[in-house]
Amino acid sequence: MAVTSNWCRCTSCHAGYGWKDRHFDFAPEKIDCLVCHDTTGTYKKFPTDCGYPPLKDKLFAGKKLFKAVNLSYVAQHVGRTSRESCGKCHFYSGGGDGVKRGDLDSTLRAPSRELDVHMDAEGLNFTCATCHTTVAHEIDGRHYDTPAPGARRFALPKDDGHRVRCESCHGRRPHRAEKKLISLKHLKLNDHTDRLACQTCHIPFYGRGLPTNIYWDWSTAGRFKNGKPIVEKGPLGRPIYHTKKGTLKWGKNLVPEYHWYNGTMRYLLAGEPLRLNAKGQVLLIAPAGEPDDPQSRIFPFKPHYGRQPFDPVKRTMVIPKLFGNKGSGAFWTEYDWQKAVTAGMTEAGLPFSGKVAFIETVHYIPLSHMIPPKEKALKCAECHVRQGGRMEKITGIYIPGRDSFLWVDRIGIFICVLTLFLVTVHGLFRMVMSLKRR
Amino acid sequence: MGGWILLALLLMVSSVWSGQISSGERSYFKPPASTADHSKFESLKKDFKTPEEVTKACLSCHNKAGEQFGGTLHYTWTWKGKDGRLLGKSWVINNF
Repeated sequence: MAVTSNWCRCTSCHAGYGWKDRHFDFAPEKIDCLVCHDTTGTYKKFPTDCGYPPLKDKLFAGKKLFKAVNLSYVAQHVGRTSRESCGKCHFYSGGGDGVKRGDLDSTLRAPSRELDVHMDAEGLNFTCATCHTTVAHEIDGRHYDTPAPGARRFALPKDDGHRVRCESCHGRRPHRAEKKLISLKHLKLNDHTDRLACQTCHIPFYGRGLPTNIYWDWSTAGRFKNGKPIVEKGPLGRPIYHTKKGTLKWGKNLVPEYHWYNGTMRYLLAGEPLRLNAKGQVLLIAPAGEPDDPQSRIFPFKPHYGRQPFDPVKRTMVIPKLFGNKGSGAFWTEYDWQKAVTAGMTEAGLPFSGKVAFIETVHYIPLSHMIPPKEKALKCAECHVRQGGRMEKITGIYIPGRDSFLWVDRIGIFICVLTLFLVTVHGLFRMVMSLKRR
Repeated sequence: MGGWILLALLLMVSSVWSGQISSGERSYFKPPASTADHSKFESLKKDFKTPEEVTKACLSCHNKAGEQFGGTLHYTWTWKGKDGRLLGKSWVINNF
């Protein structure tokens, strides 16, 4: 959905204090230093307090206790960031543990080698900032229409130490035989790096830590049983129906979807004309990239499908107000989409026809985390097969084994048959001649 | 001679043992060695009533951090797109 009109719920993950409406004052003293620099694990922000931590013991949703934060203790124990501190927000995006990303969840606090070969708590023990190199509080990563910094080459001092790309450490020809000087297999593997991202083979599955949300139908939200909200759990232990949220589907160990990707995403904003894919789904956030572009690579994504409110008259996506007090129009207190969208679009300052309908949407999430050990990487035949391979839907490239040219195949078969025929004739001739000689 | 061998063995065993406890879940929380112990700073030995007071105390020493962090995506949630559109967490929409 959107941050606008839902401020205090969403900004509970803002590295600041008190962002409660669009007039937030971005003053330096409103910065939350502690959320990133806490090393005690005791600093937590309250889920609905606009980024403030609880200063008294407080219950969230009448159930979960958030203990009062001891500011002095935390302030006296600040230090570098850790998987724990970044994870406080980034593991829980989408409203819960592992919900949104599919490659980030709380199992990365102390992961096994199997789950993440780099963060392996018993091994390399990387933190987030080991790769997300940070200079003067500017943290490396993809920033909307700007790819992650650092070209596909080693991280040298002249590159300001950026090493957020796999290639920053592993180089552009990363596969090497351990014993042999020259290995054809490794030469061939290195021959893929101009068209495939490292992630494509090295993230064979996502949702390997906890279940991740794959479908979210908001249109069914707002049902009650005997006047009480419903939370129905599915086989993965996650809600498959939730009165506030609607119908949800979850998955574990899922096969990614592959697309050409230049390191940036395309965003559809509320109020902009709809952009549909071939299935008629609205492309909310989709990868940008083309097979002809030398900077693009085939890359793995988690597709997240949804069914959410839109304006069927103006044909634009809308912003519903979900979180708020009674009388504010918020869906989670009044359960009326019409009121919720009116409130949300008014706060966003966007035109709204007054009509609400639901439309299927898709949001692609690039996968870069939870790299298993190299033995788990994809094998050749996962892609180089005629049908049902992982690259089945990739266009603009010839993939041996998947693709064929009819006439090359015909000429090849003809040459084989001709060779067999001539060899047989030649063999027979020699047999006959040798018999004659006797 | 035997004593030396025993001592060497003991050293080896103890280094392996300390290696085991210094990795893994038990100590991953432990911050890396720092050049400052923040619990010794007078400006932090206070009974802070609001988190903003803590930030002011941080910025009284780290006097460039406010300006640095204030401009980053983690604070602004706003990214000026190359095409002039405003992107960033506070402007984009999704289906979660």
